[in-house]
Amino acid sequence: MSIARAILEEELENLIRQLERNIKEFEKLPRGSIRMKKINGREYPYLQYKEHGKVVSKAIKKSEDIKVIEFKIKKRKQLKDKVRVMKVEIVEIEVSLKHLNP
Amino acid sequence: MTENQKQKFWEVIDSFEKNELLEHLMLIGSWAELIYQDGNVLDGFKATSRTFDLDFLIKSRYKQFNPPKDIPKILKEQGFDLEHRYPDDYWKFDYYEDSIALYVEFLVPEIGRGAVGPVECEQYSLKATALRHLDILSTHAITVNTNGYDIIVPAPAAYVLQKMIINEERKPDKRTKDQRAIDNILSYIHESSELTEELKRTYESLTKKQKKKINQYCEIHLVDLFKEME
Repeated sequence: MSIARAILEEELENLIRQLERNIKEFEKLPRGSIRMKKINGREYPYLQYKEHGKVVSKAIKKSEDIKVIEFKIKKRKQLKDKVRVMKVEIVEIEVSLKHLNP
Repeated sequence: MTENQKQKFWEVIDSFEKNELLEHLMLIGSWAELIYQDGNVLDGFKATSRTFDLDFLIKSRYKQFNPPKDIPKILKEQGFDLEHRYPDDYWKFDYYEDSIALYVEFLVPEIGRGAVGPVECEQYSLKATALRHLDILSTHAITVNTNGYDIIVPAPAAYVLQKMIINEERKPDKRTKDQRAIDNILSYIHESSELTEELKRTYESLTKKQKKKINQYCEIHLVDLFKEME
């Protein structure tokens, strides 16, 4: 096996493994955004996201740290980008491998 | 790394062991990840990196040997050629075969502020490259027994933190590769409360400047460094 093929195959294997871990982490994180709702003159934070085409609002408990939730939402978006880039790289490697001699 | 590369790697390790050098060298860089994997340092860990560069940190360049160690000769016997680059006086040992390529390099922590570059290591008969922030790795070393050898590598926490500190100084392609290695190793560290505690302790042992760089890295890349176990 050539060095190039061996490297690409290993990289492909690594990328798939990392992609799976990223997807797993991505699914654990909250989606949507934080919105403030005014009720009886007072503002309360809500986590708002879409589910089956409908907007869902979930009240954020007093015990929950809004900053932590905001961080997790950002992290989810970042992971979404990483997953997209990794998927593109996987396709690129697969195409390259097809053109390499066995 | 390919199976053939791995085999050559173990041959290098074996020759260092036979020449009583292994205990004076620390395997740093991405090959340390292979030791984390094979030596079960991180539960279930799979190394992500593949690289041709095999980096060894000389633990003590002033260690006296009688007679001095001759690393160039040892590596020559293993089929490595010395690449002596001018004018920067950079020493590297290259190995090429049909399906194998490996480059061995020796490093030392910088001596004094800004003293980076080639450094004479008489006791090892070579010039090593002095680099910044390697002290983090050398002061947080672990010995892993794998494949019948005691191999000194940085503790995973130190490995990750050092990568964060130097990330912005790296070339763009290596930067991305390092970021993936950080994400990968950190996710395994976070699965163990003991390793997360060690990460905290290592972070606390760093200088203000180093901590600042790590904090900046975490802010930019949205890294929850001391993430609680889920």
